[in-house]
Amino acid sequence: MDDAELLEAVARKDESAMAALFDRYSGLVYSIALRVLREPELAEDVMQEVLLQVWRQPGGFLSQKGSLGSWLAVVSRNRAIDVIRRRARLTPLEEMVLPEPRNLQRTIEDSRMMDRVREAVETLPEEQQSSLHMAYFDGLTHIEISERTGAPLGTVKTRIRSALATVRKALQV
Amino acid sequence: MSNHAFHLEEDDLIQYALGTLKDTQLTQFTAHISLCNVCRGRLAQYRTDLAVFGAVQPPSSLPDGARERFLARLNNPAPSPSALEKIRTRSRAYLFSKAFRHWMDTPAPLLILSGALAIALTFVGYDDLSHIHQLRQMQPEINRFERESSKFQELEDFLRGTNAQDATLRRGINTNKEPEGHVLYSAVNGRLVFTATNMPGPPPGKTYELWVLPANGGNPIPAGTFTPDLQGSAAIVFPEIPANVQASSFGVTVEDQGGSNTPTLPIYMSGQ
Repeated sequence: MDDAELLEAVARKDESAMAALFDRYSGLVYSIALRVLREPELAEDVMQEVLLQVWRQPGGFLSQKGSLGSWLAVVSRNRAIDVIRRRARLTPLEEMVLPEPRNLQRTIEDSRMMDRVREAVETLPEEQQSSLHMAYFDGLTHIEISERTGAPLGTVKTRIRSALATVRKALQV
Repeated sequence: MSNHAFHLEEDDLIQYALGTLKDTQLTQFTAHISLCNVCRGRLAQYRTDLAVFGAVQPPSSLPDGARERFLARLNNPAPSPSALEKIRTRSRAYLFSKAFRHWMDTPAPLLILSGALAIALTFVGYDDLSHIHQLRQMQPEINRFERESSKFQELEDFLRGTNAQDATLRRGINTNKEPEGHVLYSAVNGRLVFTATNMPGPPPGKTYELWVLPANGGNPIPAGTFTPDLQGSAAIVFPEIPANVQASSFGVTVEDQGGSNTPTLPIYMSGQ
């Protein structure tokens, strides 16, 4: 069953479909939340809330067929960051902005492409990788990263820009 | 709507995609992105890059029993404690246990006296002072965020609507370096979003003011004052304008700080 079929079954309150969806995406959602929060209990909380929202309001996803995986990754990251930011900024899922209109799920399922991106990310220079990690997983602003690392603000911007350019290049090969 | 002379910097778009912008920038950039196809496209690409970056991180194993706990919640209407609630509870439990350990280390002659104090602290100190104090400290932020969330939702609804009037405001012949303003206006509910680019700073003690000129010939309606940033950009989102006022055109004037109830000529730029 592809994502669209699973979501349609979830909309009919088919628990086995929801279980299949859990098996497909819980690892991704949990891993991202754990990287942000660094506490397994909190990360599981976020994972449950994100996936329960799919169960309760699958309609918000049905119009975005094919991008569920990337959407969940973005939502998981944003929710986890929100927990860090005083635990009060839990934006309802249906109000979240989707990552982009392309079929990103297909991109993510393209294992060769993802392997290429993974390899590119792993071989990023250490300072680029750590800057992007601080921005993505810690939710720090460029200025905060500059203050934390002691690197000039312009350098931080260049590092993050360069890291993302590497990701994009790996996607486009 | 996409022929803006001004576009957001790469780093600003990245921070926008990361959600790490400050509130004032967020409002201004949201207004611009909503009206600029170029920046919206570039933002989408950065969101893609970031989503893929997140998706290729090494996976972690789920905690034991996570699947069962999730499935058990599918038909449980009562929500389990949120992450925030768990943190609050855990924080209180930690403080209580720490206080208790300190109390047990107290020399015997002081146990009774300190015990009474510990009980008082447990019930009054932690609950009433620490916990409630924490909540009180957070309340203004929660209230602020609720207000902003409501405003952003309203903005999103407005920008997605199709019955809004669209106007470009210019000074004379347009060039890339000329000041330019864009208005999106809905007469039905009096909602207006204005963005401007390439605006020079106003003279000392002065500010710019936007006006709605009613189609029925009525008095111009003030639609907010603004001062551009260092890049010459500015935005006004949802100024107070009465509903059901059809607009013939829009104008910007230079006024004293604080704005005016009537426009001062000459009109700096206008459009319809």
